[in-house]
Amino acid sequence: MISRVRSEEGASLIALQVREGKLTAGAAVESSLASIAANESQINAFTSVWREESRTAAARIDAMRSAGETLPPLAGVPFAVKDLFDVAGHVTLAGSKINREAPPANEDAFLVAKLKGAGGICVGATNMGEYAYDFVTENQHYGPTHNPHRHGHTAGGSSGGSAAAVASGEVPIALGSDTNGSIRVPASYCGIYGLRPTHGRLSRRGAFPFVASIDNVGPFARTLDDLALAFDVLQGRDERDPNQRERPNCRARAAIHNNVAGLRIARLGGFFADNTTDDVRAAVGGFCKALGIDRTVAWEHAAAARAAAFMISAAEGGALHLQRLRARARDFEFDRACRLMAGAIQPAARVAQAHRFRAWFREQVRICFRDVDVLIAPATPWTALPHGTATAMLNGQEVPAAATGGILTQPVSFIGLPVICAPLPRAAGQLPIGVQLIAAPWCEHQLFAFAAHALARGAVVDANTVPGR
Amino acid sequence: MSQPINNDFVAAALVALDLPTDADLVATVGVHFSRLSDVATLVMNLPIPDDVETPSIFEP
Repeated sequence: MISRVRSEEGASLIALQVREGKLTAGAAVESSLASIAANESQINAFTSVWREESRTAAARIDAMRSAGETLPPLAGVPFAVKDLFDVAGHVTLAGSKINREAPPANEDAFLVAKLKGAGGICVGATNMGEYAYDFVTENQHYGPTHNPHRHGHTAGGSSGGSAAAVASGEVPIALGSDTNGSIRVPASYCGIYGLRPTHGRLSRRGAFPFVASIDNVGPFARTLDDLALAFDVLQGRDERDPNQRERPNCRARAAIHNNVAGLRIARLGGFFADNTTDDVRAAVGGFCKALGIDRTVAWEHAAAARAAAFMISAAEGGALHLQRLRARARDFEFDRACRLMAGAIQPAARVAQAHRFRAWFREQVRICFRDVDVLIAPATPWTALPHGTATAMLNGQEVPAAATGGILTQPVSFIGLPVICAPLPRAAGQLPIGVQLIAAPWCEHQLFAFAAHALARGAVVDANTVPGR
Repeated sequence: MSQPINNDFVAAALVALDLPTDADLVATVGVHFSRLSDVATLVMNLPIPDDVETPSIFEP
């Protein structure tokens, strides 16, 4: 049984209470630390917990309030970061053994600085798949992260620690990264919200890379309002990130109140319908029925998109880690080292063709968005599987379970589209499952408006209301 | 259908990149290389138009 204390309250409520003097930042942090202390033996979401630093930061917030200063939007809100974001003074492990020997970061990652600048208090770093090449967070160096809904089952990956920390109520918000689904897969398995913004929207500076051409970063939250609050805080121009695009900010919390009349919604069929289990198909079907969505579209080359994402990820990941693989292959998880080496030795023509296909596929999908605003797809083919599951049946075939967890997320992130993964309503005892809400590039405002519409009609739920918790 | 595993190619490619070639590594890299080769067929056989260019964020 997971212990849930005050940190189960959302970020918005904690910040409001701190602003109004009904709660001190110190008390909010102590609640989070108490929840972590109570739950970690069952979940293993954290690789580091920074108790004294977070207490000191909370004292600064409380002093600001005592001095009558205006408090920032996340004042007193505890948060956690996937252990690939630099946090000044701490070693960024990236889920690896090798990085233990790296020097501590000398400055915060851009997104960490954003959250801290908004009054958020970083209580620790979370477990992840080694070097983010993973959908299950069964880390051999730091142990597996367990799903808060069912011990012994995966929390998803590679941002599994962040998702489990949020789902269990240890923190209300956390940061993750998502190359091929590493925010959306754990969000789906843990029954919380996750946002992968448009590629280039948020600064990646200070986040340990995996696949430079696809990597992205974003927040987790238990409620849609908290997800919007976090996203509003995280945006901002970073002149030091060459990947970031200069675009007007999305005002997510305002967008929640936008009218959705006129939004054109369709369900993604074909590849996305075929590669799901009956349980997931029924859950997404219920979502569509509740919202009167009866239109289906298909992306003809979704399977190739997933394949190309696989090829590029393996190649760029392999190249990134080449020096470490040469010198210290045995200090990687064995299978991870072999996957990276297999990626590194792929013929160049394959990788070049995968990148050319990416450009071509993006244009095909842009055509699709001429008469659709939001697309619906399941986030994962199944609910969280037990740790160590080697293979599973999908679409009549036996497939590798861990790698296939991202089969429905890879074709979407491959072309940089913004996605909210939102938890679907489930009966007591059923494991969570998430739905991907997908928009055209830079249209996150439509996702937040539509998600709020779905939430108001019970088609998705805020995680605090998931039965069985 | 899975591509046959050619561990001679795998070992030679690992040598070319100065990567370790212990027998257990070569065998497992071979399995993963075969899987990558399987999925690559989905992409390599597509008739992508010649004028499709890869976008780059490189700015001189």
